[in-house]
Amino acid sequence: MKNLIRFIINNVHWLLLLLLLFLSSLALVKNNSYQGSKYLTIENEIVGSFYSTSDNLTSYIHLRSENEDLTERMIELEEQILRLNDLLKSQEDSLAHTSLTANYEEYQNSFEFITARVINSNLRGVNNILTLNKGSKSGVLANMGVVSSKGLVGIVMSTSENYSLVIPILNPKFRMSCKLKHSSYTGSMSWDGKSFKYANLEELPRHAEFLVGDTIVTSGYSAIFPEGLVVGYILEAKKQRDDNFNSLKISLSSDFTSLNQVLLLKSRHREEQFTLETGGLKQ
Amino acid sequence: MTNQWWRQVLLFIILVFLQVYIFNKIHILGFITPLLYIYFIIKLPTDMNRNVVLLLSFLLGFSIDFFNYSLGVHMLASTVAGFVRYYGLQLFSPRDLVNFCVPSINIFGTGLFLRYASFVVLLHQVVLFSVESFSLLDPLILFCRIAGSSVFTLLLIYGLEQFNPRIKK
Repeated sequence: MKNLIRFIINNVHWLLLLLLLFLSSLALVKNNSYQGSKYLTIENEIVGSFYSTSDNLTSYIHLRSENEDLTERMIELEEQILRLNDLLKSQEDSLAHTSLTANYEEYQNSFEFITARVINSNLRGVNNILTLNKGSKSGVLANMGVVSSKGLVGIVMSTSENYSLVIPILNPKFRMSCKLKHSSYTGSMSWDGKSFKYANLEELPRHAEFLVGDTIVTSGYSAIFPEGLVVGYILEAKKQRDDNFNSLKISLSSDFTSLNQVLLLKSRHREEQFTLETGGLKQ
Repeated sequence: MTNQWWRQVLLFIILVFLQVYIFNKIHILGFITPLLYIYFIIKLPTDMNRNVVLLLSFLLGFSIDFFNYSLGVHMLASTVAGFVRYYGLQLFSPRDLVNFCVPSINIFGTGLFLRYASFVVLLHQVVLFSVESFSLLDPLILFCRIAGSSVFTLLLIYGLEQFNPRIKK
């Protein structure tokens, strides 16, 4: 103890210097923002490295309880995912009253939509049929139009309670009244029986002007489809036997090999138009 | 001794006020600032207790800082200057110094006095400007500042020393 005191007394000068330097540095760092911030960054580095080393050593001890917590949380999240998936599926099915994509801007309100999924597409040969997962229970009736987000798909042939069959465009029985998008010249569209991508538009008047790449849309003449649905794009013009009409090769906008979600068009005025047309024909 | 005490206090007050009101506003060429308050430390009697010198220089730095709103910068520099003064005296006192005295050109001789003064002033400026900028981004500017301010301060010190009464030898 005496030695310590003697040491202090002998070196008061140095100790005082150290004390005053320390006080000045303290005042410097506290009262000047630039120096203070520099000091803080250096201090952060040093202290941070110390703490991270100690944390590396001690965190190992808590691993087991952390594991248990994580497993519990995971179970919660999985349950939530299952619930949300179910909710999502039920929402998809009940999208009956919403409108679709921008392709169908020109729709009048006379059409309602029913969503369905293509569960089987029999596209092997000439007689191609699609199966949908909605039937009469969901309001599907025969002769309803079927479209996809890209374009026309076909017409419902028959329905059972839970399923329905659709004749796609790719079927020789299918004929559709179509027109050029920018004019009102109509023609009759049918499949050529060879490739899934192309169809023929026939009986288009010779004087109708068109360019390769023009859009072909439904004419709205049938009660099944509204006007303006995109069917395909003009690829080339072919000569027909009849010199008064043009025959065009169309590339279909719908991709039949990858159909998934389709919409069924329920027309409100269907009954009326049907009875009128068939009744009128009888007369 | 009592006479000296009053003189020291007066010198302290005058130097602080000169620095704060006049010298702080002078910026020659943009980087030279005279820091004349070091003159107080240089002029402290040689027999003063080293600890008292330290405390006094700490106080001096604090007063300057106080008016500069930059606490700590001048405190650090003047504490270092007060510490270094003892070693400067040991290096640059005239050989034949018998009594203890107040350093001045008359007693030391111009050469020695200027060397002693520049020793203290230079170290003070180095610490001051280094702490003030606290970075080595522009060492040239730092060097210019230190060199310029030291030279100017020494000029002022030399000028003040001429006001000492001439001792007829």
